[in-house]
Amino acid sequence: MPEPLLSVRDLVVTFRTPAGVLTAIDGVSFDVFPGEVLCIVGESGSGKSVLNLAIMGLLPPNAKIESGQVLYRGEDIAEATPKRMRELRGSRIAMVFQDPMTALNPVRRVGRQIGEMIRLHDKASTAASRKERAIDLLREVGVPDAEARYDAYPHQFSGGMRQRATIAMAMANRPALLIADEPTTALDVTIQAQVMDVLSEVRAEVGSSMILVTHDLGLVAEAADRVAVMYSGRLVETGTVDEIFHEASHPYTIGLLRSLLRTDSTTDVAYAIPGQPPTLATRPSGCAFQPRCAIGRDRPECGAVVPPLVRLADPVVGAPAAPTSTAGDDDGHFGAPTVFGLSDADHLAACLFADEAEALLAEADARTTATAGSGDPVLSPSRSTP
Amino acid sequence: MTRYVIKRVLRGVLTVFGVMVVSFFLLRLTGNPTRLLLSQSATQAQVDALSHQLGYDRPLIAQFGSFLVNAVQGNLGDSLVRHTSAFDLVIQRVPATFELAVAAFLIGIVPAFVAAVLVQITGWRWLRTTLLWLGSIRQAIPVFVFGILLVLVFSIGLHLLPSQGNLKPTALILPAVTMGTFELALYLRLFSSSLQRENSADYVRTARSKGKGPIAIVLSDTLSNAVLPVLAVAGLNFGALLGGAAVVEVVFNWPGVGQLMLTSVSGRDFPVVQAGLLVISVIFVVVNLLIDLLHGVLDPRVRLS
Amino acid sequence: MSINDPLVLTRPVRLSGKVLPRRRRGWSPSIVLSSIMLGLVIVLVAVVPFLPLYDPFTQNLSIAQQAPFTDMAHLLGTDTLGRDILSRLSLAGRVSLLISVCAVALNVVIGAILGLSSGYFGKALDTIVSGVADLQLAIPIMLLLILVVSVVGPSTSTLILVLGVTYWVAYGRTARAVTLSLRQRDFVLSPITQGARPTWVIRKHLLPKVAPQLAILASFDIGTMITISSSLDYLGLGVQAPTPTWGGMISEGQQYLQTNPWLIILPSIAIFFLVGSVQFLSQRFTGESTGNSISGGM
Repeated sequence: MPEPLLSVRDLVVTFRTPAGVLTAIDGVSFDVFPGEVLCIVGESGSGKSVLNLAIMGLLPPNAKIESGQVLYRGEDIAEATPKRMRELRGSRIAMVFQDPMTALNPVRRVGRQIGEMIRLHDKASTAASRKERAIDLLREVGVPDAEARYDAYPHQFSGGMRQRATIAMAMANRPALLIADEPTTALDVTIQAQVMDVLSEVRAEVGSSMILVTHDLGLVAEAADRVAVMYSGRLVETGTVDEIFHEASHPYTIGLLRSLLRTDSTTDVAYAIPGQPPTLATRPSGCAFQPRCAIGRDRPECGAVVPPLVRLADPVVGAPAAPTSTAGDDDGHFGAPTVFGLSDADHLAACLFADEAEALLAEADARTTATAGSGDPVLSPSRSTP
Repeated sequence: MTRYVIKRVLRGVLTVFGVMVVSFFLLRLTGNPTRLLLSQSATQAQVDALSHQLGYDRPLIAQFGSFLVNAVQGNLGDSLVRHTSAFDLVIQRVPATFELAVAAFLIGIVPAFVAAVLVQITGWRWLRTTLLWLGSIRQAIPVFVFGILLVLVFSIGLHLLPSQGNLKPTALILPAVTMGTFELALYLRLFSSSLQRENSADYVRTARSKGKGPIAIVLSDTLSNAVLPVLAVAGLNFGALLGGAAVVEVVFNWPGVGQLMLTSVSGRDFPVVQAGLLVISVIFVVVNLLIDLLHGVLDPRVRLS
Repeated sequence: MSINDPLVLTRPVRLSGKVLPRRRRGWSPSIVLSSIMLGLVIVLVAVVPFLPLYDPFTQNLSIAQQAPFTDMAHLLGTDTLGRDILSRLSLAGRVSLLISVCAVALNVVIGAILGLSSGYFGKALDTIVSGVADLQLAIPIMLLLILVVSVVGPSTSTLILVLGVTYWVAYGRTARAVTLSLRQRDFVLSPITQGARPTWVIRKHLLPKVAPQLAILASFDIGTMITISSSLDYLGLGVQAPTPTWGGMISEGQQYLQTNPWLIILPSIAIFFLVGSVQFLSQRFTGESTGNSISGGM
């Protein structure tokens, strides 16, 4: 197994608020291996973005890393000096933010902002070389007429073009790790796929690893090698993209997948997980998902202990590597997972009933929706139990 | 940018026109202004004669028309006391008022700017708190009171600075400090809230994600955005300084436009008063026009839209 | 979308459906101090008139310019004409407060009417009101007042009227902004679609939202207005002798600056106590970052 590029170990992030100290990230651990795309999925408020800011060392002043490690090539950057973090940020770890409309400085030229990224990490570079490189980068991300656009201001770019520019900026120093925080959420639907393609292309070309935060499962199916599912500041399930889509074992993951509108679904009624995710202040004891969980709702043991993230007892041998049929836009470009030495044994879930979750859920469905006639489980039995 | 400039210039012209309308009709608040020119004992025949001679018996619109035509040529009537052009009398006083207003403006805005940036970079909140306290206390003291207190301490008590006139260069210090410090708290609040707001903007987070240091971010990213909202307020306040200078000019016997206008009030020399109001208002409009243009230069969203 | 906005976490968090109250700050030193200052001014204007003092107009040249606390009959001393300073300060305070409150009230009314209607009706009316506001800001009020006084002569009513119609812009803009932000909300739209008259909608739905905002601004402006009106009194453009004003008393005392600074220091303290206490107290409501954006308090 190769050395991980980034290892997050038992990370706990807290926020000081008027309502007291709240735990936004509660003991999260995961690895990112060289060259892979890890998708972090979860609802709004699940802590995805805080997690990224913690990795980048960009937490807001009222937040802090309480405990745990963020190991970049073995170096704990949660403990790094501000100076060391500035060296890493932008050169080794770069970030693409959600809203391209506000992510660029409105009063500075786009090209200069890209060139600055180069200058910050290569003081010896000349202005001319930076300009040349910035124009190349703009061209690579598909900004038309890059020479002229170098001198433009952000407001002269459309949303999609701006996000391309921020991608160009992030890739300027060929980072080892790219963190993309919902990079297409703020864009028009028609532009999203294009920008995602550009992001995937330039990433693949440089060979960077990527942490892609999204709540768009279609995007996950298309882009991810591995998936980590977050719920209320905790990791509830991780696995390869196939394991997550075909053998989801945590009730929350199963619910998320069910909420997808599928082309092959026999029903046109979208499924919604009942209830609301808890806020940080109202996170229940035990499993945070318990109040919304068809299995755990009535089981006291689910409310008593926080279920640990454990290896699933029943690894499936030889899971199919074929692209799933979930995503509409399926050119197979990034659908097939790259092989990087992970075994199926890395499929982990934080549920006391993970091994039987699916069966129990189907049972609960049969009870509650007997009259509604939409009890068709999204994960068809033929797929989940080959 | 061209459209922006044209729009701003048109608005300025319109404002100047408005000022003319106001000052023209204010003079006719009490009806025929001839009465103001003559003593109480003047007979109706005398009033009518002078009224006819000055054109005050013509229709109001005709009078306003010729007032406009004359005003555009810089002819605002003659001083009733000194019998010279009221416009010239005012123009001679403009440099003194302008000098005072600019000095006061700088004394208010520069320390506030420096302090706000320093606080943003160093995180020294005590500096901001202390200055805001001092500035707020200063704001509770009217300009004329503060001026007299300064005279009491620095001229009468310590014999350090002159308290009257503008003959010595050091004479500018007391009146400028008197007016400028009044604005310190205002600008400090404006700048630091503007800087704080910009500092939590997304583009600052982007800059940090690029590995940029905090000082570099304030200087090259935050600052250029943070000054924009302060500009408009600064323009308006500069106008307030030009007008408010009248009080300070009286306290320090500073030979500016305001002082001229006030001495003209007792002689009912209203052409001079009217000329003063017009000239200061036009300067105000021009200054704000320049600030608008500066805003256009500094903000590409304005310049290139 | 997600919590990359740190504000999401710093706002009071809902617990069992209730918003947690903000931690209340106790009595800070500035509040205590300004309350004491305001209390002293209230005693000066409301209690002092009932004390057995000399009346503020009685002259007695034989006891002119007594220093404070030397003669119990004239506690704060006497002025250049031998009049009792304490009773003059008291009367001047009442006059100042009356003028400021009247002028602020007039401005609030004008600003509310213009702001509400321009925000509600928009279009041409909005353009005209904005134009008038621009014009208003372009004419230095001190100089405008000098012109008016040179035509109609100085008096208390002129002062109130001119101050009362020239400081409405801040209120107008606030009222307009609030109106615009509420204009498209359902509780405003639904009566409109049901044919309610604009005056009814404005009075019933918009005014209650606008009024508190204007009240906060107004509380701050009382201090500003006292500053301005006493400046005008100082210049001799406001309230006329023999009615005493703090500004007028300072103006009279200025020529005795070297020999008897008390003539200036006492009314200065009165102005400072009133303006300072009103400003500090109202800053507690407005938060320190707001307040009046245009100083004008010359």
